[in-house]
Amino acid sequence: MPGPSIALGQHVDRLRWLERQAHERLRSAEERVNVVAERSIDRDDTAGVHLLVQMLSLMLAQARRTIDRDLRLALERPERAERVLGNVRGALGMAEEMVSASLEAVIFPPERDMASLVQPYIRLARAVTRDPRTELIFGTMEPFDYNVWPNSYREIEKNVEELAPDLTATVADLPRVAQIEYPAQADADTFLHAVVAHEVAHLALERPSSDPSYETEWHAVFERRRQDSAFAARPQDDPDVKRLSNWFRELTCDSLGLRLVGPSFLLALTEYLLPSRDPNYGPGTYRQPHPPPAWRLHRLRAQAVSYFDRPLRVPGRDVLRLAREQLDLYHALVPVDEYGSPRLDRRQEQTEPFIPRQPPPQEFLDAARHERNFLETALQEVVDNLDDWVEQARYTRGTFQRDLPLIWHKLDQGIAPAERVIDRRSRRWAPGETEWARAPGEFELQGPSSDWSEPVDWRSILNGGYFYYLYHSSLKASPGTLEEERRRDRDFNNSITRGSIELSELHRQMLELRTQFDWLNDPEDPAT
Amino acid sequence: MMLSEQAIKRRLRDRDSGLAITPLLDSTQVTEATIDLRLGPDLVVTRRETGVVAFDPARTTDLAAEIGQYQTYLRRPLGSAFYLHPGDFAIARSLEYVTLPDDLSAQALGRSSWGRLGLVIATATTVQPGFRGTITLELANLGRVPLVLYVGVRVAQLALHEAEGGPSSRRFHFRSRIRQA
Repeated sequence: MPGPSIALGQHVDRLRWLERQAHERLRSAEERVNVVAERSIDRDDTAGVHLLVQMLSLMLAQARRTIDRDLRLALERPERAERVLGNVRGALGMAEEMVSASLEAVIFPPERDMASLVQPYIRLARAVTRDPRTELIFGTMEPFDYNVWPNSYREIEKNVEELAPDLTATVADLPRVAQIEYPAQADADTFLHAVVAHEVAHLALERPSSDPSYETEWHAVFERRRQDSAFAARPQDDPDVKRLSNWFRELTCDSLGLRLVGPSFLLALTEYLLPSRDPNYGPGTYRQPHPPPAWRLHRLRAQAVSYFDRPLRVPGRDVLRLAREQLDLYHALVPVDEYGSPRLDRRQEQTEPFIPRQPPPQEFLDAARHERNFLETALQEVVDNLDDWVEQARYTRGTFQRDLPLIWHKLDQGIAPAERVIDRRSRRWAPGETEWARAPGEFELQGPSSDWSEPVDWRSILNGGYFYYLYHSSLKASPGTLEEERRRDRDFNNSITRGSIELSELHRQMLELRTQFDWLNDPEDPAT
Repeated sequence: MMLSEQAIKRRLRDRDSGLAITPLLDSTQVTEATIDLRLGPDLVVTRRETGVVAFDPARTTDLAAEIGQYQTYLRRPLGSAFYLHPGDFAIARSLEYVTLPDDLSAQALGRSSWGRLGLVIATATTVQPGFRGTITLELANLGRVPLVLYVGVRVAQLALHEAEGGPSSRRFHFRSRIRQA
């Protein structure tokens, strides 16, 4: 049997080995964080990524100090070594898992289809959360789905007490960083990304409880209505009550999403939900968080149509009728049976042999019909108050009706619809044109300005580009139109739309930071 | 005939003229007879140490792909700096999206303030009638001192000329290959 000195020698060897391994594993984790940090410089969502990687680096540095301290303790107090070493192994695993899980969706920057929408959606998120420090990180996911993680620090918060207790207060005071995930597949394009407004809407519902907030009001409406319904007697953790609560939340986000970006939201949601890639139908969907797709689309129709009501007297307003027709055509695709399955399409026919689809269980449909009245009544109260809740962030009817003819006209001429020439308007360049009608609370006719032009609202560009594409696509559609040609048309219109949004954003930045960027305007030429 | 400042502004204000330079961030960009263009956020730089002897179109079936191996795409935010060292070459695009009607052509020229520092901004300067897109700028530093270019700085100018004879039989439709608008 080895004597005490031999046992002690083996103990020291073991600790040295574990120390080397711990340093190597932490170094690996730090390297992963550093790679993401280096790649984040050119990202459009760099601020959010920077906050996340900075916190991860701090956590790893603190974890390293904690592990080193524990290893020293194990060396000095061999009788406590096993327990202490257990902590070290646990801490290493937690640190690695924390880095992996936090960076999973952050590794690759947003690509062209999303890049121009990043800053606009960040501004929208700040407006709906009423927190100017809110940041968003965008990442792709392999399933064709959109998702939001309201808290990018969730893995850090889970581990801070164990790994870095000194950072607990720092983590609690961090600016909010949320993560939006969107499909990596080629079919996901700028038009379809209007759906992201639904995910941004979730952030409005999930603000911190210490903030007198939308969520409190939203939840209060749901609870008040529930107490008057057949679900009053059931506890809050009842599976059906939880599902109802989820459905209520999702339907509210639909209404809010449409308020945030306008009628293009309904077009995009229709395109996203109806084809066979819909993830909401399949085995075990009874308690899944989303209501039947057709119901979701039908109930948004009135809200979308309201953007076309009471047409303003703006030049070129005839295009409103053309756009409205496209909305109606898209809506005709939605199954009349609001609880029914999406109709079979060609993709589903092709994939049926190896991705079998099942109609929703009857109990799912029965539940949807039974709860309909309760939910619709509660939702009406939410919708009636939406404008108050999202005041600064909403996309108004007036802006939509004012901008759509301008965008249509520019696209007809092949011009990127990124700006409105104010100088033209102030000089009454078109004799005979009527003044724009004033719509109280919708928009104000701007007075004379020293600026040559102003940027067009990115949501007007998105709406205008989408409706314009659909209109011209419907003119061309015939049995002989090739799929490739349709794809090419869509790609081109996407391209001009996202490029125009990008130009509008650059314009907006220049105006907002006019003093800071004034030196970029120096026209002086040293030539004589 | 070259268009003057008043003629340019008249065309820009006329929504049916077909001429658009968008966004025009400052009306002073329209000078006596040209329009200043700004450096856009997208750049393609050629790496210095390529190990390539020559780009020879006679000896390769896909010259563009071969050249592409030695180029790096960069994207820089508004106001950020880009260093162009002596002898360096980079491809950029104008910040503005330009639309020309069928009766106007344009020439992309350098600004003399930059020219005096050794910056050449364009090697293929003519912009055809009917063009739609951002203007490609081929940047080369012929001087001996590095130049710092900022995204958004006025780096080039566009001179507009009337083109007679109606639209081309070959409909010209071009978009910048660096990053499509």
